[in-house]
Amino acid sequence: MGTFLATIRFELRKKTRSSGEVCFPAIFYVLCIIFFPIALGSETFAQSGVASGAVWISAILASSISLENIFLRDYVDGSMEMTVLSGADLPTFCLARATSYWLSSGLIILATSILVIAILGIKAHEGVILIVSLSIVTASISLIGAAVSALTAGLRAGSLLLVTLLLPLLVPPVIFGASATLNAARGLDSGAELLFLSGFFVLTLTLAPWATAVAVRVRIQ
Amino acid sequence: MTIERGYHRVVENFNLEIRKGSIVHLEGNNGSGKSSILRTVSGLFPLYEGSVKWRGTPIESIDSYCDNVNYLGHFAGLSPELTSIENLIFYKLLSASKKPALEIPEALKTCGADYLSSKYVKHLSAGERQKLAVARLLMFSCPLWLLDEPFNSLDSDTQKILEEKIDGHSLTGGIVLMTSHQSFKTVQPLNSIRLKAK
Repeated sequence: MGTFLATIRFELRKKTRSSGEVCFPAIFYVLCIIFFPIALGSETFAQSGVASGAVWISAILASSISLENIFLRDYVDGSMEMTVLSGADLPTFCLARATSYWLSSGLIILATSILVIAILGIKAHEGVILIVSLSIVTASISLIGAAVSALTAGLRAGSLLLVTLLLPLLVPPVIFGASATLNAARGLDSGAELLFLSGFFVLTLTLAPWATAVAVRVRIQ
Repeated sequence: MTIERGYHRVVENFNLEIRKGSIVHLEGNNGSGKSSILRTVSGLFPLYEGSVKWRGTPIESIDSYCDNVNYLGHFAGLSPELTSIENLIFYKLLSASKKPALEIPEALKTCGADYLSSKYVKHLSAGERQKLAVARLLMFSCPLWLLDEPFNSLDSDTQKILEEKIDGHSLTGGIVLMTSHQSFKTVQPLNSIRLKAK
């Protein structure tokens, strides 16, 4: 528990000192959404389901875009090997890193989403389902992303490789997340989709920290 | 041990037994595998052949082998966005399983680095970062010290302090395995091993 809390505490302290890192995903997110009505035309965009689809795509991209930051600096300044040699429990450390990433990026994107949902005029019930499913999916992205980030830290074109490795893994949660939102928009039940998303999250929670720990060990070799 | 890096043998059939209280200095030109040996002994690098044993047991089968090792490498491993003291506090929290030696303020004072404690690491010079790495070394009481170029960019005063600490560590039965291109003095006998570049 000590490792977990200490890592989150100091990681968030680092993030608050580089405000750009916290703000840019949210700005990127909003810009991304703005592109949809521009590209699709405002009439098409106003149709049911399109707006929430735009929110989905933008949120996924915005929460993936800064994933490389989870481990890149650690690799560059040598903290990664010092952490391995510190004797701390690596999976716990990696879980804490993914959690602090979610707190500094996923949570901000969720908060922005509430604003975006209100502006786009998405209905309340649909909006709630959207936020719930987004929060599960962004948490899963943080967990998987931590593993991929550790694996690609410091590689040339590492950030591109990261997104290429990560996006295929996100297909199932996006399918179920988006259909949960669509169901809500049509007044249908979205319980099954939310259960699938929760299952996916539990799966990543049980596998990703260990995978990340292995990736960290491999990366410093 | 034999160590391979990217299909290239850096160290081949290297054999060494170190007894407690000894200071071993690995010498050799750049690329002769000094750092690779240190990193392998620390457990960071995998072996291609052979084994590293600690008190007769291969290190892979010791659960808390890290707790015996104090490693000082080429990179200080300090986060630039944190202050010096925050970096050390965080590392101490991570290394809760290591036996503590000096308290953080004391360790900083010993290296003449107490004036750095509230400065951000991003504003520090290479030598000052190295001082912090030395302070971190003194925070824990680990029997095995692996020092990779510890005198790099250190001023002569801090180098002298570190030399004394190396002597003191050896006197209390600890092991020091180190590399250095700079000349340094120890009171305790120094075992030098020259590695040939491959």
